[in-house]
Amino acid sequence: MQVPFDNLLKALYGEIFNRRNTFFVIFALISLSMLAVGTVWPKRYTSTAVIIADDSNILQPLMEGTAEATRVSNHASNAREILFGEKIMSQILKDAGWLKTNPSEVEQERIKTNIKGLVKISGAGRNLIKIESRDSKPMRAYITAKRMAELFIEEGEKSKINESQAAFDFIEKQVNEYLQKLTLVEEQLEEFRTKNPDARPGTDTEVSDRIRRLTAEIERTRLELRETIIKRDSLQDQLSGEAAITISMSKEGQYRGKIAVLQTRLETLRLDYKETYPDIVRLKHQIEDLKDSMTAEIEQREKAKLNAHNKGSEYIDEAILLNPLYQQLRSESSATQTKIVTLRARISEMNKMLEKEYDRAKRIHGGEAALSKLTRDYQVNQDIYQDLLRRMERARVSRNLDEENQGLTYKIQEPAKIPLIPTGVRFIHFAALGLIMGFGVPIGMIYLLLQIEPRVRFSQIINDGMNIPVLAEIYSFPSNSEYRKMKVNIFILVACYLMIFLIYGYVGWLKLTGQL
Amino acid sequence: MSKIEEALTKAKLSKQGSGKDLKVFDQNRSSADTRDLVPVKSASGQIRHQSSAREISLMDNGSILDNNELSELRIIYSDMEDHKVANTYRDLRTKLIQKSQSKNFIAMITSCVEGKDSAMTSLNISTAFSFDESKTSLLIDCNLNNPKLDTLLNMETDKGLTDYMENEDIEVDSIMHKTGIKRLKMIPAGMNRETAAEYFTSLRMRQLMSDLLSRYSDRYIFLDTAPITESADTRILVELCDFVVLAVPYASSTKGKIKEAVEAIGEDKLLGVVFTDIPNVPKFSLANLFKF
Repeated sequence: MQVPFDNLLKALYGEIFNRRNTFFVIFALISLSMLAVGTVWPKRYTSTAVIIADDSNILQPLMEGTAEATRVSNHASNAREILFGEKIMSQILKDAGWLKTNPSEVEQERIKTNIKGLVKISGAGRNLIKIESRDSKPMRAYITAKRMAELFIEEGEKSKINESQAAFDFIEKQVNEYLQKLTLVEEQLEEFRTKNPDARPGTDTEVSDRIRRLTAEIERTRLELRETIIKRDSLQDQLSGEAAITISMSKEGQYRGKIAVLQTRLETLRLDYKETYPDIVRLKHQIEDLKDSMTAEIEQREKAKLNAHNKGSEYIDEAILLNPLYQQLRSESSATQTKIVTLRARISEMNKMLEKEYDRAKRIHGGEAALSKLTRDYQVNQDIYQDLLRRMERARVSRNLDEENQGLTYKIQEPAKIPLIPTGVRFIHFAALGLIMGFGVPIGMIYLLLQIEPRVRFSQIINDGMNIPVLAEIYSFPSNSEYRKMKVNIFILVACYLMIFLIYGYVGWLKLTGQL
Repeated sequence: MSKIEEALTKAKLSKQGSGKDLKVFDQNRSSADTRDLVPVKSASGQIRHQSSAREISLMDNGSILDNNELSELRIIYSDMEDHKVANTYRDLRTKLIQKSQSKNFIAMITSCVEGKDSAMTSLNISTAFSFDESKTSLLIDCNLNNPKLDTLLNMETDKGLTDYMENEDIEVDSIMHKTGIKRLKMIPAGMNRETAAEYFTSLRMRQLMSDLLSRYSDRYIFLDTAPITESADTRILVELCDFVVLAVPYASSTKGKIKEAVEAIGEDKLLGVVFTDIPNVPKFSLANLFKF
């Protein structure tokens, strides 16, 4: 059952009126206590200095890649590191007048911690550093912000120069070190070269080439030798007795051939003539003669063979000896023999050369490992040295940049000012809040009571919610004497409220004139 | 000259300068009304129709309370400063008369919370009926455990309802008291209040009720009772009356309590709820602001 809002408001009004005295007490308690808190709440003055970190100047594009302008990625945190350091904090303590009362070491530490809590260093934008100093005294807030900005710039520049100088020094040291190394390797290489003239790049391939060529040559010569030997053997065979016999047999063959021809003629003649035909007789004689001479030939050959065999020498027919072919064979055979001797000599010579080459190859391999090591060292050292040399030049320029304040520069963008109006939660806020809460809290409490208390406060709940007709809504009314008392009570309450406002006004005035 | 001042001077004149001491009137009021003694034998019902507006106007009301005294007793009066309350009661009166179809009736007024009883509401409803010069109202205090009406009216009474019940010799007229309000009479609870439930179920009680109702056709009878949720007497009395009005004071009872009371009364007898004691901010006009 939803109660209409105006009824709720009416009930709220009535309830507040009935509880007006309690309402006032709560109001007075809240508003006065807030006023008291506001009175004792410390004032805070804020002074702000803004520093611009200018790292993009005209030199940058010119020096691109050559010089490194000192870069700071997070200016604010960098500034915090520098400013909250012991050195600057002590300086601030002195400048802001904290030491006038001669605080002890412990107290000084406490003050420093306090200042760290009250000074806010934040990065505003990409390159801006904002230093916000809060303090109960405006002058102290101002001095703190101002001095911090100044000291930061001083310190920042100093540290920047130191940094680039240190970088340059380091690189220079490195360069010298590598120079020494390089010289040493060079000397070693020189020494090695004198000791090993063979040790030239490519010697290895040359030697293996030679070995290969020699091996091939030997192979070829061997083949030729074998060929020549075979040739000599065959020539020998031809020149041996077998050959003579062959030739002799060929003489015999001549005879047989002649006989065969004569026999053929004889056969032909016998077809036409009788045995006594002169031609046939003559032919018979001729054949007889030929057969005799052939037999003689065979006998002679056998005898010669036997003789030769007895004498232990080869039998060479005279006819054969006189034969041009034989002569040629003999000369050829002796030539072949000579060639064989030559080839053998060559092979042994080449083998010797091969041996020598193998020896050389072995020597070269050992030397080459040492050489390549030395060469590598030399190469690496040289590369690093050259790189470092380049870097050193860049570092030198960077250092010069920083020395002449041309790299990253800090400038005061907005100087600190003496704050005139305190910031943060101030008396006026407490006062206003006190009045608002003074009324708001009790009203809220009564509203809450109306909302959550289960007892029926609205006739709508009975009429509409429970379907019981409500005949009349009767408002309470005061008797005449009560009405009079009520008036007196209201006058007193109004006076009390006025009193509270007067107290507010008075305290406000005191605050405004600085008496409180 | 404001109305209050007028009322004050009027009161002074009528009381011959003793207006501030209310007890003086009480003695005046408590004397028996001789005119009311005549129609006692009302059981026959013969005289009933003789009652009329004229007769009511001739009724002896005793000494009358002035506006200021009424205000102190928190009783409404016709020319109140704050018309709203009086008018609300008048509207309520009209509604009740409409419901009863212009016949006179016995109405019971009860509450549903102990401590916040209906006495003040009963008193003001019956007063509203007596505003009308042609009507008379009788208020009977049936809250025997905690009778309040005499206190609220600032009266000292001797005989009342229970005495009448106990003693057959006592006549009706001797227990009807003048209230100091025109046309409003009251029967207090009386001195003898031990065995209440028995009285209410007795024949004599029924007899009394019908006698009172039929005495005048323009007499309206109101029974003020103890909260119905707390008292068995009240439940018995429901039987005797024509209808019941439930007084629910502001912020006094939960829905459950109201439901319980409604169930105890019964749907047919319950006329409705009067939502009372709603907090109100009285008007402070500039004219009367500095007058005390």
